[in-house]
Order: sequence, then C-alpha cells, then structure tokens
Amino acid sequence: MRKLITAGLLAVILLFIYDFFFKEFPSPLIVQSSETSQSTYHGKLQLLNVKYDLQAHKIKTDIRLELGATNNAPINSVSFSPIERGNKQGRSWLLSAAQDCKMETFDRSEGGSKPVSVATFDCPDLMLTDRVSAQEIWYPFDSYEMPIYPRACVNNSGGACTGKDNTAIDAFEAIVADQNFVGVLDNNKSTPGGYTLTLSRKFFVRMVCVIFLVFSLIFLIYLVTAGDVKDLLPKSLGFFATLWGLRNLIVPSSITVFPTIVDYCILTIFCLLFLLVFMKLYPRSQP
Amino acid sequence: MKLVATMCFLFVAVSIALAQTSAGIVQTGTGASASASPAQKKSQSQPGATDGLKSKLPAENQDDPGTFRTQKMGRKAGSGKGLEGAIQNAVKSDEFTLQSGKEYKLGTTVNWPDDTRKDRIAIDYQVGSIDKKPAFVTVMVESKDAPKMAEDAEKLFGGKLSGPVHAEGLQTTMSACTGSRVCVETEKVGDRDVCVRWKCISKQVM
Repeated sequence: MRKLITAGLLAVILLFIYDFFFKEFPSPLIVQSSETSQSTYHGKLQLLNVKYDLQAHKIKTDIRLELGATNNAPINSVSFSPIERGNKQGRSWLLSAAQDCKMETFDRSEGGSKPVSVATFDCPDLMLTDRVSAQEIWYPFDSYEMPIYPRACVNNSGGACTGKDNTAIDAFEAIVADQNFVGVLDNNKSTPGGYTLTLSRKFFVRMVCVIFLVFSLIFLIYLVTAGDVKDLLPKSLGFFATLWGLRNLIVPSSITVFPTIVDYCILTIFCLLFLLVFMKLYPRSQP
Repeated sequence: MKLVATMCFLFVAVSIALAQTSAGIVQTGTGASASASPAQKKSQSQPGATDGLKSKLPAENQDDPGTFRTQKMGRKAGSGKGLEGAIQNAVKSDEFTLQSGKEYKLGTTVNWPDDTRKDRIAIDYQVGSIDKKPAFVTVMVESKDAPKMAEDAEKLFGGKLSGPVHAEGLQTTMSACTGSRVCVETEKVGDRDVCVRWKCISKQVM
C-alpha cells in the first residue's frame, strides 16, 4: 500500500513537471500552404488576439490579411471572407470599400528589385463561431473547433468574389490570447485551402480535475471503510466542505454555465457518501 | 435515525445553495449580455457560422419568406425596366419595417418573373435609406439572372429611388443611394457564387 501511494504521488509530480515544460509554453500556430498558386496576389492571414468571449459564448479575434502582388499590379480594394456557413456555403464579405475593415497600401522593394504593391487589411473584434456554447457543460474538458476557409479578391468592383479568385492565401497564423486555452491549427483535409483552429482548456486544469477526482474517491472509500462510525458525520461534513472548496477552485467565476461536469461529479460523490454512510449505520441485519 | 435526517437535510440544503449560487452566476451573465452592443445581441440571436462576423457587416436579416406578401411581375425581355418598375410599385404600395433596429425591409417580396420555378434565389437589394438606416427590398429571381457586378445589379434593380414612403405605419422620406452598390453576401448555387445582398456605399469610400 505504501509503495502504491508513493508511486501515485511521484506520478503526479512527474505530470506537473511534464505540464510545465511541455504544455505551458506552446509553439506558434503557423500553417503554410503546400499548394503553389499562379494567382496575381498572395497573402498571409493572421488571427491575432484569439479568445473565447464569455458573454457571447463565441470565439472572438482580430484578423489581419497581408497581401502582396507578384508583379506591378496595383491593389485598390480588397474583399475578404474568412469562413463559410450553412448548407448553401454562404459567405459574408468584409470589404475595404465599405469600411468594414481598415486597409493600408504601400510599395515594397526587396533586394533592389522593382517595387510591388503591398496591402494590409485589418478587421478588429470579429466573432467566429461554430455553435459551441453547449459544450461549456463539459468544462474543463470542453474544446471549440473553428473551420476557417478564407477567400480573398483584389480589385473586384462588385465587392464579393463571385468569379475566379485572384488571390491565394499561402500562410495562416493564429495567436491565442486567452490564457485559459491552448490552440491547435491544422490544414482541413476535407476542404482544400481550409484550416481548422481548435481551442481547448489547458492540460493543467484538466489534469488537476482528474487528480482531485481520484483523491476524492480514495478519501471517500477510506472515510467509509476505515473511519469510526461516531465520527462519520463530522468527517462527512468536512469532506463535503472540501469538495465545495475544490469546486470553487476548479471552476472559475467566469464560467457561467451550470451545471458543469464538475458539479455532476461533486453531487454524485456526495450521494455516494450519503449512501455508504446510510448502509454502514443501518446494515441489513439490523431491524 | 437523526443522523440520516441530518444528512438528508444537509444534502438538500447544499443542493439548493449550489443551484442558487449558479443561478446568480447565470443571471450575471444574462445581465452582461443585455448590456452588450446591438451587434452582439444580433449575433447571439442568430445561430450560424458567421453570426458574429455578420455583426461587423452591414445589417442583414433573413425573415421567414413565408411571412412576406409577394408581388408578381411579368418579364419584359431585354430590359430591367420591368423589375425596376415593380420595385418602385412595391415601395409605393407597401411599408417598410425596422429589422433588429438596424435596417428597414419592405414587407413585399417582388417576384421576377412571375412564374414559380424552384431555382429561384432571394436577393436583398438596398434601394435607399430611411432615417440614415439602409432600406432593403427582397427580390426573388432565377439564379441564372442574379447580377454579378454592381453595374448589372443597378441596371436590373434600379439605381435611384427616393421620396415619400411608409415605414411602420408612418409616412417618411427615403433618401436615394448616392453611391454605388457592393455585394456583401454570397451563396453557392451549383458551383458558382451568387450575390444575395447588395448594399449601397457612398462614393467617398470607393
């Protein structure tokens, strides 16, 4: 028994070390397109300041699109749509012409070559969503997936890209600003040119939840099997107070959804405690 | 037995306390939502992949098409005058209603042409502005007739429309679109993108 407890505690310490060195300092989320395009304009898309909006229950981000011409083609206007929605593959378009976003253009010359037109296209505080709010019930095991399928057009007088796109987005970068989440960025294999950004809670929070659950169950068994019957009620009260304290520690006040899986676990443990205490105090043989 | 009763009471009390605490949290969240910007409210009320994005774009509101009255028009070959006239008639004969506090929409949906084929698509077209808010008319057209360029849209739907109109029971004045139209929303029909929303922008930002 002693060896088992020692091994368990050592495993927990190792998990803490693993989390600190391998999970708390995530690498940048950058994906480069493997396809080579013959488009006149090439761009890099950045999702800056990605965070989970607690009030809207949606993902909020600033978007920056950097565009450059391959030749001396000018950049007068930009139409951009980051995501596709619904069965009809509809899109809402962000237009520099309609002042949805701020566009700046300038010329850039690299290595003494002929200057080319470059434009930056900034759209602050955009909400991206995939109907994720119901998943908060699984806190801290909730995660939020956003399929992003960007399209852009340059110098399209009609506004949206209704013809063939003349702009290729070659690189995609996401910077997660929400300290409670870690992000994973991948190419969307089912949609060429599409990406998937997944936000999930930090490993530490999930790990601590599991550890607390295991410790609580162990203590529950100990309380019922090894404890004195006379002291059972005060000890049970203390145990429940501890569970309540752990709940407040694990679930921050910013999580507005109730109940979460943590609440279910705590109430289930308390029910188990009550059941076991009842069975111990009133065994079957007793009239 | 007292112990059991105590435990029962404790369980019930703690459950109630837990529920009340969380209800308070939820209420706090709701209050915060209520104070959010109109754009945020809108994005919350319309589930969909681009809800929040829409809040950044010009207002849009797809009401249930079944609630619209419709006005049918025959096609006049080779000219957009027929549809333009139908839109003008619809604007004169019906009234605009404010949608989500951000835009006006005409109660009548204009059908063009008047036969009912399945490959029709609803296009929202901004005809002007009422109280500095965009005023839209919904036109049902065959998807192959949907305009691709701003010039085509203005040619088909009409360029300028102004004067007295009815908005929510009151007579008011609609200002004409002084700039040009741009497409702000598309849908896929077959393998091509069709613009389903044309908005007026001022010439200053073109």
